[in-house]
Amino acid sequence: MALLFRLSVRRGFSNGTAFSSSITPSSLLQPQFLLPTLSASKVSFTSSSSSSASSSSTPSFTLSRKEDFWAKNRRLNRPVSPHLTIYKPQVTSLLSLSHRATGLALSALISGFSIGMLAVPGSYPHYLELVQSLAFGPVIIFGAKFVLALPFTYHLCNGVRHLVWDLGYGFTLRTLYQTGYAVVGISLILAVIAAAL
Amino acid sequence: MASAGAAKLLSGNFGNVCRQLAVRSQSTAAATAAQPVPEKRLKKFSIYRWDPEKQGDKPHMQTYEVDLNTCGPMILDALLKIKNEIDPSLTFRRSCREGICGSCSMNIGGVNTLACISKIDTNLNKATKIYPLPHMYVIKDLVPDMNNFYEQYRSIQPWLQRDDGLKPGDQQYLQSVDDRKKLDGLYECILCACCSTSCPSYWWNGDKYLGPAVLMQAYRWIIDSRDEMSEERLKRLRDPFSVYRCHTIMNCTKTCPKGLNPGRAIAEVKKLLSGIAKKGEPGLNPMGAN
Repeated sequence: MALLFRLSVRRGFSNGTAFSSSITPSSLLQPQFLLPTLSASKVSFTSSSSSSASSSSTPSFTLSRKEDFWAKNRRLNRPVSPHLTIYKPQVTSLLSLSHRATGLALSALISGFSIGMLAVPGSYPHYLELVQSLAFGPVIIFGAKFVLALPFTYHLCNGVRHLVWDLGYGFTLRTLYQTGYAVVGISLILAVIAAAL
Repeated sequence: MASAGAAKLLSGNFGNVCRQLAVRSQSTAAATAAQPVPEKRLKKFSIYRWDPEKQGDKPHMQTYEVDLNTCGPMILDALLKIKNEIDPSLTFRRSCREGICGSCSMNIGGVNTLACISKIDTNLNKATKIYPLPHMYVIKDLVPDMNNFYEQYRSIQPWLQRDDGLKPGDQQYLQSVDDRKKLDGLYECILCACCSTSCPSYWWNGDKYLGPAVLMQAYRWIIDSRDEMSEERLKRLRDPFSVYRCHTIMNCTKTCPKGLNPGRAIAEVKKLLSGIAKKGEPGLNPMGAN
């Protein structure tokens, strides 16, 4: 908005016309308010550099010839339409969301584990033996390994999908869905294999 | 000879049609006599409402019931019927009613699309939810403030730019058939903003990220063989936000009511920005052969 020159409008500066006391959001939308030259008889306009000193008693606001989009919407108290909560979950967005979630989880897990291992007194083999001595059943061990492996295999497979996209391939809607389902399937299989090791 | 011909005609397809017509007229006569008023097929529409003129009005959903027997097949037909017959205060944009103007873009059943080319779901047990385009400032009801979107479109300078000093109309610029083909799937965009407002990245960074619709148009002008400002156009996009907030979520391509592929166009822009792709020389000298 730098190229738009800003004008300052001061309320209550115009010989007590009705205009000064009844500024509502809707009246601001009327053309005379957006085209300062047409309404110069009603409202005083001064450049913003010279208007600051004397306006302490009257509420003042700045109005550019074309008011800034964000300022205007905030001033009019317009609500933001609902988004995340109402948009239909789709394969496209869900896979993207889980890619980011697994990425975050993996980096938290790996850095947390590494720093944790530095902080605790014992060494890694000690704790491994401890877990083994607790003698969880094979089902629980398999399940735990699967849960740990799946974020990694999924993030890996979907990462390859992202690399292929970066080369410009696989963008038709059909391919998007095929590769999406393929990534889920392959990462599940890989996670099962990793858990069975 | 003639009677044999007529018999043949009657036993053939023409005869079948005549018989069906006769049967149908009888059955409809019977039906209207027995059941003068067909049963109403009431469909619920749950619509986002917010009125800036009402003091302290909070956004809320309002449910309307429309008889599908007396309503056209499209969501826009239902909206117009509600506005005409039930609640004239319901506010929405519409113009062409045939998917070419892009005015009636809104979120219908959780997906951004054009009300005029979106069929009413005839399952009467389920209400169809209608919201404005997601994560936009609402002016009233289903009307969002599109000015940021338009301003972003302006920022990519969507017009042909050349260094030849000619004025528009001075000369016809030539373009090879293959070069023209590159614009297919790009120029058809009607700027309805369905794609941009389906994009979570655009929701969170709409102030700095240009969004799929605008980026696809940026690409359309970058690869136009007649345009000479590709480098400058790319330069303007070279920052962390304008293009690179695209994380290939692909909601844009999924939702485009015109079946276009903004996600692919952004990927092509990224390729051009990173230098793994080049625009290439025009197949035909735009100024003609000399």
